[in-house]
Amino acid sequence: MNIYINGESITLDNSNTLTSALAVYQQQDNALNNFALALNGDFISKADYPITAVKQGDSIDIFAPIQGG
Amino acid sequence: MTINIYGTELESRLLIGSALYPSPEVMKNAIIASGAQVVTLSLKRQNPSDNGGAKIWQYIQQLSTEKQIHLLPNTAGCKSAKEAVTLAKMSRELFATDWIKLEVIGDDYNLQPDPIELLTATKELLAAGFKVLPYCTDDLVLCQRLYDLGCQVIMPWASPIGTGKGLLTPYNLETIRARLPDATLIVDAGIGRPSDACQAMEMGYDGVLLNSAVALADNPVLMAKAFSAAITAGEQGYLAGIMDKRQTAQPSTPTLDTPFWHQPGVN
Repeated sequence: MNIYINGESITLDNSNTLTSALAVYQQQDNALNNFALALNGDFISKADYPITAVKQGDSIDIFAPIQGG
Repeated sequence: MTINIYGTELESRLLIGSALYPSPEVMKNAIIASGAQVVTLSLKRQNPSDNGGAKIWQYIQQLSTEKQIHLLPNTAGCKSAKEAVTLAKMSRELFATDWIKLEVIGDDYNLQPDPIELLTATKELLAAGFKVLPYCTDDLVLCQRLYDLGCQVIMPWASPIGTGKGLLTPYNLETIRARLPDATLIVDAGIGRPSDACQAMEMGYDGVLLNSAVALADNPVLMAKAFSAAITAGEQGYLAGIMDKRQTAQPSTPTLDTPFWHQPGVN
């Protein structure tokens, strides 16, 4: 199945969790440091990554710190 | 005197942003020179090729540890309560703080906050345990509603973000101060000159949050010092009690024993 991480299409086997989806994303040379994420627009805490299932067409947005005013 | 941010007492009444500086080094030096104990920062979609953001984050973490500076994440770029709440929750996890500078923009032209979405997001975030610092317009009733919801800190704008126009409607800001005497009020956005910050403090505001005015100065480090001094001057002026304006001139030199030919009725 396909999901999207920061707009990039990622192909996963069926029955995946957020943890495994992020592992696949990182294998594609996408370093993940100091980040938080939203699944389909809703915040998911780090503690819940292993128990949160992702399904076909899901969209994950990964956010990192930047300067701000 | 200290400023109270949800029970945290801080010596400095200047809150400073971390954006728009010519380099991360200048940002770090300007923040140190400002004496600010609160630094704003933000979140954006992670771009693996962007290493500049990592450097800035590294400096801010360093300042946070060494100078005991508090992080104040914002929800810049959000246009709905739902977006702002999601970003606030991500910020809380990432920055390990329940402080949030809540921004919900309602208009792209002047980046004016959306009061309806702001109230909705504020209510939800306060219920979720956040300490909300809402960025809002200088509308008295909106500020009152935010206070009634439980915001102990309220941050009306002086003028639109990044314009440097200073206090466009002093009457509105003075009225908010008068009507919300127990709220911690911080003027946020639109400050251009140190005298703008001083003016806000002379009104009895508790603090000033700014970014562009320092970051875009020819010498940000020197400007940071200037703002620090201006805010202290304004605060002391307010505490000292500023004289009332008078309609007519009054001699400041005593008139007793002035030469007789200046007395009324003497030619």
